[in-house]
Amino acid sequence: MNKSMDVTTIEKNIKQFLSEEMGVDLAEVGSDGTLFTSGLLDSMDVIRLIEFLETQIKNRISPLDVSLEQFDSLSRIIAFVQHRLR
Amino acid sequence: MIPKKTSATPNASHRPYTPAFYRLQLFLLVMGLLLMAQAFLPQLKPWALTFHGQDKHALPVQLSPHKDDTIQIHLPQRGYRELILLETVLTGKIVISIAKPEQPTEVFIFGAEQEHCQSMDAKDSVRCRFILHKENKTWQMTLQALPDTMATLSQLEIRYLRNTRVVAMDEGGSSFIFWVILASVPLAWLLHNHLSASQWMLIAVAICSLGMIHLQFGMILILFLTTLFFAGKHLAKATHRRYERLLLLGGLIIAFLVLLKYGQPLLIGLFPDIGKLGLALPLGLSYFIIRLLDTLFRWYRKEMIALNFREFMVFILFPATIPAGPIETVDQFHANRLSKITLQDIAWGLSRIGIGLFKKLVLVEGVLRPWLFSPPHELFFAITRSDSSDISVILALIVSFLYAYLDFSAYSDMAIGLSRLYGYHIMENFTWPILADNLREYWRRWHRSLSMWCMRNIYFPLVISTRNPFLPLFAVMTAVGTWHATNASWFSWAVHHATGLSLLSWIEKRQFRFLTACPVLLRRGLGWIMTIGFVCAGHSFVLYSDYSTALSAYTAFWRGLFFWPLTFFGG
Repeated sequence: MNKSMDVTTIEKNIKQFLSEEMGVDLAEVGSDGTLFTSGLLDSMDVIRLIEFLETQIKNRISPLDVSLEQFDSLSRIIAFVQHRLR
Repeated sequence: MIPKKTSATPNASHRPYTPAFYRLQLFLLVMGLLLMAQAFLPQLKPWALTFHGQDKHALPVQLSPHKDDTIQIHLPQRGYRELILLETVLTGKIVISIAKPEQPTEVFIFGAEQEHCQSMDAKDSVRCRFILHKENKTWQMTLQALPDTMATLSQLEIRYLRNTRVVAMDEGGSSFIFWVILASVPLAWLLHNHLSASQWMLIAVAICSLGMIHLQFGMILILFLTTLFFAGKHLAKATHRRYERLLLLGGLIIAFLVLLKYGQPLLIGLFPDIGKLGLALPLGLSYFIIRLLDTLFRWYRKEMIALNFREFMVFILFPATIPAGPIETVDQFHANRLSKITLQDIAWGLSRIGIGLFKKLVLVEGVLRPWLFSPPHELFFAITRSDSSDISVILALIVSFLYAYLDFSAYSDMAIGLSRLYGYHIMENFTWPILADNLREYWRRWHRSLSMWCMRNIYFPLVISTRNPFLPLFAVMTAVGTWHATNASWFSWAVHHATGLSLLSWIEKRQFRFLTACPVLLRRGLGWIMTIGFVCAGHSFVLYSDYSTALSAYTAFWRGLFFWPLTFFGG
């Protein structure tokens, strides 16, 4: 499995996780709609999302290396994952 | 919304944080505990008695109407505006006089603006309140018996009910600076098309304003910011020892705040002429610090590397938001600069300043402040009166909450309006927090820029490192409390709000059937009452710096709330 396949699969997994596990209506929110600063997701969801992303990128996420803005929308989450897999 | 499943995909096998982060957390925890511990330490008696013409030098004493037979109370100046409650138990009649300083802000005795007062009856409790001025004066109160009477003073207690740190700008200075800044607005319009010139002009206005208020602080601040800028940029580009550099620079910023906020008495006399620095807190200091920390964390994450010195300085020193925010992020601030200033922007900005002035001058100073601090209502003193009911304490806390809300939002209105006149669109700081129907919503609406700063820089990193949503809540609230003052009252305020937010999360998670079955309108109405009630109860720790008074007000609030309705039935 090459890297681009990985990214595509992970994108699909992220969308699935957000809609099925966290109950986000992606059709309504869109890829640029804010998730945390709008109050759609809360602090418990931050933890679940981070733990999920760590399993996907197979690496730890250090608290000082990331900001909340990087996880505030679907497109930003995907950009973060792409950056980490580079 | 689809019901959330409880199982995520936890993976406990890999550690999400580095040993260095453990050390940082431990360091912050120890520092926090030390700060809090000092807040609970018994304070040394901040006042002293001198007995003149007396044989004995301790209470109780008799005061004969001889002119030298007096007791003097010395109240040292501590860099605060202070509302002081003086309680005595005495027999006979007595005169209390206050050595008037050159520029007293307010002096009230028995609620009357006079320098001398006379006790009403024998065994009366004399109440006296006044506000200390920032001038380096020691206040003296003299107790003396009236002619033809003998007075006995058996007890004397002084409580510092409310401390407000003096900022290096009295009310006259504040309006002066406001007009100076407003006068620079036409210049901003002329220069707005030239980005560089207009931003340098704004920096110059800020430096001149700060220099006029506090020359030494203005100079120290420029030196400090310049050092921080170059060191921060170096951090952003560094490839090794980045974490240590971050710790060093973060520590330097915090040390700067602590030194000026808490160590000022140490500074006096340390350098030539530094005495003029006074005990007053430099204007906007806390706001400079948190903008700096925000930028520093971004540099650490290799963001905003292209930020130049001018852009950095104008963000930190933007004149409209110097005194009390809102606290923008550096990228938001620059992104929200208007491409051109239209007549509509000018009209909007002026009307927003007008709204702020109306709130401050009419609602806050004209209505709420007299209710709280002046006769006949004097709600602030309700808790200290033996004959007052719990309802008057509840009323005091509600009025005090409204006072804080309108006062702060008035400053935000003026800052946002002035920013628009300068050609910047600044974020809203208050979005009707008094309409919030739960505590989390309240915090999304109250001082939003600080809440978001805490979310970014304290809550989020701690949530990632601890994987616990509750501990970071307490850390955020403790940080906000400490940001205001390190005393037991603010620490209790932090615990009060963090507990409320944790309880709310727990209740929402449990999804109690009686709540889900409740009609939406009723649920929201009850939620609103509970939220505002909860916030007002916590406000007792904001209103009273004296911890025992704050606790009394807190318990009186809940007692009144739960037992007052019973009086309708029980009589």
